[in-house]
Amino acid sequence: MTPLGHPEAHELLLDLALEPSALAQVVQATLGGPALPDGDPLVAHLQACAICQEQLVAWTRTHAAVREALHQAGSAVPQRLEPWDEDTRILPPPDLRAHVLEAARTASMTSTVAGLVGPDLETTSARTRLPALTSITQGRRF
Amino acid sequence: MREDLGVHDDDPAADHALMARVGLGDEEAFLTVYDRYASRIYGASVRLLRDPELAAEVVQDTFLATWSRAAQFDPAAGSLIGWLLAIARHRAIDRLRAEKRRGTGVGKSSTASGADDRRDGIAHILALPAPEIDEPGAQFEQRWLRAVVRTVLAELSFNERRVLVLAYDDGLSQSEIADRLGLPVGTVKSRTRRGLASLRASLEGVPGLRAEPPTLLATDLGTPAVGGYS
Repeated sequence: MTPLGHPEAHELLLDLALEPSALAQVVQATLGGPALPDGDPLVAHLQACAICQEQLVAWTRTHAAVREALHQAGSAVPQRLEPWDEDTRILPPPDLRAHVLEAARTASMTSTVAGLVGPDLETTSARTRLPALTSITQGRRF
Repeated sequence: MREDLGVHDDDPAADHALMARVGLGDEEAFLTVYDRYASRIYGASVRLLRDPELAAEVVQDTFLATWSRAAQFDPAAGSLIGWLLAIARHRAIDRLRAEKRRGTGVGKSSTASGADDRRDGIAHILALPAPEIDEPGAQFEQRWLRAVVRTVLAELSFNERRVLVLAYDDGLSQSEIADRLGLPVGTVKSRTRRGLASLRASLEGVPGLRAEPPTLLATDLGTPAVGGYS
């Protein structure tokens, strides 16, 4: 078996990351589970390379997290997420942007005044309860 | 045919430069960061809290923290969106605790005028259960994770979501997806990479999903470890 170099292994991992099922097989094999046919060189490299192991772990966790999140809460049977299902892109209210900027400016002024007056000044929080926002905009991305 | 692109994380180098300017008090840079990422923070917060007004406050809190702590952003530690979502998660917890102290719950209908119009478009999301103030930490973290993933998926294009669904739900390989959709494998790979890159960057801020020291753990094959409710 020809040993796999790190750059080649890295590229293979990036491709495998696109296929959650195939990646899971490689993880199993790397942990000493059912071996892939003919002593897979990628598995051999992963068993020795800490950097690639870190990438493998990161992708595996990402895949597991996405799978978990795709399943409906509380459902015993995983619900398939159809791509045309309503997963609305929720946009913030248009006037929130101005409120955020105002809050940031207030924070700057408070910080400046505190710096001039000294630590005895009790600074008020720049947080403001937002007034009733005028709209919530939703967008669809298809 | 022009590829329909979803909303994606921009160049990390550009984000780093932006945050350096924000740290110097550059309002234009600050608003650019807002324009780039506010929808994802707001969307995740609405999906978590089931309360648009509370979600707006989380967004404000998050960006206020961003304004005052921009210098603390370290691009070597992860993506900007991951950093922002980590802040948003903490702010959402703060808001939940504040509601508890006030004796109110989350997900209640607002009495403000125009509230019905605002909520109509996302009624199907608001109708789902809101988190309980005292629910176990692991349950809260799963809610947050789900909210972030669903929000990122909503920002992908229809075509990008479709290839991800086939990869995750059907376990298809890239070539199998290409065959099914009648597309070149390269196109399928591009769409999958873009979608996964967005997901991974956003999930960096979720507890338990950052890559730990390079030790393969058998538990990584299953549900990811979740952090406490803190």
